[in-house]
Amino acid sequence: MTHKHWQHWLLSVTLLLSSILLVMVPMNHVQASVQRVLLVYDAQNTSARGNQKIDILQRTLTALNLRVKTVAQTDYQAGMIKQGHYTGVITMVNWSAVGITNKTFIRDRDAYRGIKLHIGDGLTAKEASELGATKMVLYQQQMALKTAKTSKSLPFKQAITVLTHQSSDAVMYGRLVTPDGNVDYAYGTVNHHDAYLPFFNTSGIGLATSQQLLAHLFTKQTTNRPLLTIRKVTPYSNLTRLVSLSRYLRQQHIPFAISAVSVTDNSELAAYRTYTKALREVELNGGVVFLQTPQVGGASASDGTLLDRLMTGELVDLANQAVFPVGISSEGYWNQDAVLRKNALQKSSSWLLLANKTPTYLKQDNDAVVAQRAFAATPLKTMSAKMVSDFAVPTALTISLPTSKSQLRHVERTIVHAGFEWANLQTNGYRSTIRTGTTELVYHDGKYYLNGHQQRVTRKVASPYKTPKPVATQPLFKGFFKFQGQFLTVFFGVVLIALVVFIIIGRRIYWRRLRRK
Amino acid sequence: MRKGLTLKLNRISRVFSPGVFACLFAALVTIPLLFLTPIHGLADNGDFYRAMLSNGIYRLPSQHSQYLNFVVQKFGLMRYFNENNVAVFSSQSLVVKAAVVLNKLLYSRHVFDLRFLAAIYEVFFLGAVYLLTKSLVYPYRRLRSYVIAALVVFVFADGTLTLYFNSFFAEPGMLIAVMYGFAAIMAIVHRCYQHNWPMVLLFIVSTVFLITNKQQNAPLALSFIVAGAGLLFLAKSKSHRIAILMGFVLIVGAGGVTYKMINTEFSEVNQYQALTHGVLLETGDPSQKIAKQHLNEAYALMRSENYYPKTFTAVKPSDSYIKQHLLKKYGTGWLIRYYAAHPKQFGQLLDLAAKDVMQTRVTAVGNYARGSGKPAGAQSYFFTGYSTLMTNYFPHKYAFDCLLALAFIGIYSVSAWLDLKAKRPGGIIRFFLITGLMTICVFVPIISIIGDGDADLAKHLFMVPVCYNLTFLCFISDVLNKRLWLTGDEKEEEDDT
Repeated sequence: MTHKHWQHWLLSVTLLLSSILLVMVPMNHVQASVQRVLLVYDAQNTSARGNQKIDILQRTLTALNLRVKTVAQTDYQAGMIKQGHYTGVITMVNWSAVGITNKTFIRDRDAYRGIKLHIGDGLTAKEASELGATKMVLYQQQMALKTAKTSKSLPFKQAITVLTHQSSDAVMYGRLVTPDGNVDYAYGTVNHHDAYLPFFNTSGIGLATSQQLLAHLFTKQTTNRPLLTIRKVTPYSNLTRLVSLSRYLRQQHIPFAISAVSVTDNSELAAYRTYTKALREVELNGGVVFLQTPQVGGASASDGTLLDRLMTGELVDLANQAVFPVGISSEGYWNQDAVLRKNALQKSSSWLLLANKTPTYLKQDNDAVVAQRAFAATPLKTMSAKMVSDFAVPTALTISLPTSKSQLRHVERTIVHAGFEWANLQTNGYRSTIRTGTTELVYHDGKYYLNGHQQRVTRKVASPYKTPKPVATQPLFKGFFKFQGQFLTVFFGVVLIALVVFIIIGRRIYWRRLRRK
Repeated sequence: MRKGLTLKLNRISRVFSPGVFACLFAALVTIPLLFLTPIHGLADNGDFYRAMLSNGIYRLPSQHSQYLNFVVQKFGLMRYFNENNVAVFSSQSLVVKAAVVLNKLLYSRHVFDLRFLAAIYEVFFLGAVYLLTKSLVYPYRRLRSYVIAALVVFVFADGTLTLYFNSFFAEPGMLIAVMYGFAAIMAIVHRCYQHNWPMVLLFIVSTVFLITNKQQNAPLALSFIVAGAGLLFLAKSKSHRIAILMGFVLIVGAGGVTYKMINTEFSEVNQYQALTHGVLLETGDPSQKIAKQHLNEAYALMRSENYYPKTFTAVKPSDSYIKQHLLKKYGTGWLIRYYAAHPKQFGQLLDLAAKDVMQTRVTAVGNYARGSGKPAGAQSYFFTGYSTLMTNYFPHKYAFDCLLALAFIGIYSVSAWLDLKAKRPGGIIRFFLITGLMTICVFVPIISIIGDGDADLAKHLFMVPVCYNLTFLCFISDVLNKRLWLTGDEKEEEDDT
């Protein structure tokens, strides 16, 4: 073998190995070293929005870089806490009438010496003693949640368990205050490894305070500016409004992200180019794009490969049009499903997790993993800088894309009046990677890289597509049937004309015979 | 020797008339297929619930999927209050209810065997085969009459049609009703019975049943008015004419009611798919085309999407945004205007429909029961010669379908003209009947494309092959019996009843 041949051979092997590595190495290679948390709940209690509480708690934990395994108390098996090597166990009571009744779980939890958090009613005496406090039940109370910056009235509660005689080491988050202001109790309490929240809110100051407690409890204390995110961006949205809003935000020096849906098929059409043109405008106006996962229709657990192909196709098509997503956005439940997570979410190192609407699971395992960076989304309208300026958890504050001019003005006002210092992903060393098939998209310090090469976003891109041909429907025997169809059409046409001619001739002969008679 | 053969045939014909022969032959072909376990039929494509739930039938729990791959024979019968609303207004409910009653009487009060439904269809089907054969061959009992009888069985007892009996699809009702309707009019043409009014009544009843059987049949009311218009020439008095007209009013009313009862969701499904499986197909880039018709060009990206996405989709059509910004922006009028502006595309879509015009096999679902040893989704090919022949060799051009319709109308117009002059109603009634059927063959593909695009085309076009088959049989029997041009020259022979 000559020296040149050796060079070729080595180059080929290196390329092959690097391609294999690119495909094989999972995005979340950090999973093994990530802390794990077990979340055990009593019931979903959807009528009291218990399922939403579980959802936002799961997303918060993921955003805190904690792997959360969620189990209904009925599915809890003896020894699970010990076997799972969990850093912490969270008990969530959504339905006080049910509460935690699984004695095996209670026994295992009591024996557990790691981080423990109890959310909701049903705090046991043992848990209270571990918290270094005495529990007390208040009945029929109208209270307000008070923090250093703000106060919010809470709905009337039939019963609420609060802690008294707390240890001096306890750290408290928020105060529960009676209307007359005479009596107040801690909302959230952390006493070394143990913590307690008497209830859990899905938005607003209640959520922000709970998130602060969670970050402290799991020693993940950071301060995060919120990421302004425009939701409901689809090819069918009013793209003029999207571009107008992005221009406005640029003028106001507000960095932002959009959560945009794309299509799998038909990317050769002009309408797709119109859509990607609008997305490029967003990028040029300082916005970043999170590719939103599609909606699940009649798919089943065996459609994982299809989803993988679909996501790859969408990302490649967008990249061809100089739209470079910096992460993947999806409803939170995609991280609780083995098929959806593996074939979509885990392609990216950066996630934006939206609230669940109507989850359609393919293979639910409730065994969430983490990303290098995950944002837990919450509606902007429920938050303002007056309530909380920095968040304990990476948070995306979302607002829907306006559909009319008046709505556009309203959205612009809402964003400005919220008064936040917004997160800017173009700076501060933010880095994200999306790997799909043999394509790698990297976003680092505001620059886009495609397979290692820096890309420039321009208003116009050369279309890689030619004018499409009409859809071919039946290639097999097409020629034969076409010929047969045409032949028989002509044949019948001739026969029909002949028939009419014969009828006319026959009629004449008939009349002639009659006339002779 | 020939004399001996004729004598033998005469002897046989005294015992087995062509009608009875067809009936026995059809029973011989269909009973083993439908009733001997493991049964054959059509598996559920997800539509069965429409006929099941409102009639108190539910799926028994199973560890296997009960959809698409295998035919399910046993279902549960609800014992207590049935909370399910009627999903779809349909005369099919009558048949299902009758099957449930029969099942409760003869088999079980808690478990429903699908074969009871097939049994109800089978009884009516054999009656339809008998009447159709008799109406085509009467009054002859020659060898050629038996050939026609065999052809009736070959065409209508085809496996792809009879497999429907073991299913909750509405198509068997349509097949049997149209056979009765056609046979009733032909029985009048060939004067099979002394009194015509039972046949007129049969035509009206079976047509009303057919129209109300499925929502897509509502527009067919007009075709059946054409098909039955010849009956007005039969009326000897004003009161007879009024009675027949009342029957027609009933048919039109049935069409109107069926149309009105189409619920919003079904309308939305059809409207959406008329765009994604119609307007956006068979064209290069539809973006500009729909934009010119004042529809957001972005919706071109929905090309080939289903209302109920099979796997994943960007945005579900049931999303309130899509309802507001797409479904409210166009309707049937918009679709007609669009196709009027793009006739070439419409022609290509009609050719697409023409490819499925003689397709009666439902390939999407399996025909065998689990445990039959057949793989999932396997198809039965027992006695499917006719459908195979027609699927493969019937031309795939809509223009051909139109010419064929014109040819049949032209042929039967000769005898109609002659009978009009001779003041005989037979040829006129037959002409209107064939014309009515041909309007179905010509217009149903148009209605299907405008109404739902190419989605579920084979099921939407179900009536087309049935109408063609009836016309082919009529034509063949008239040629064999030498009464294509004249209807009134038959020599009266003994009745074959």
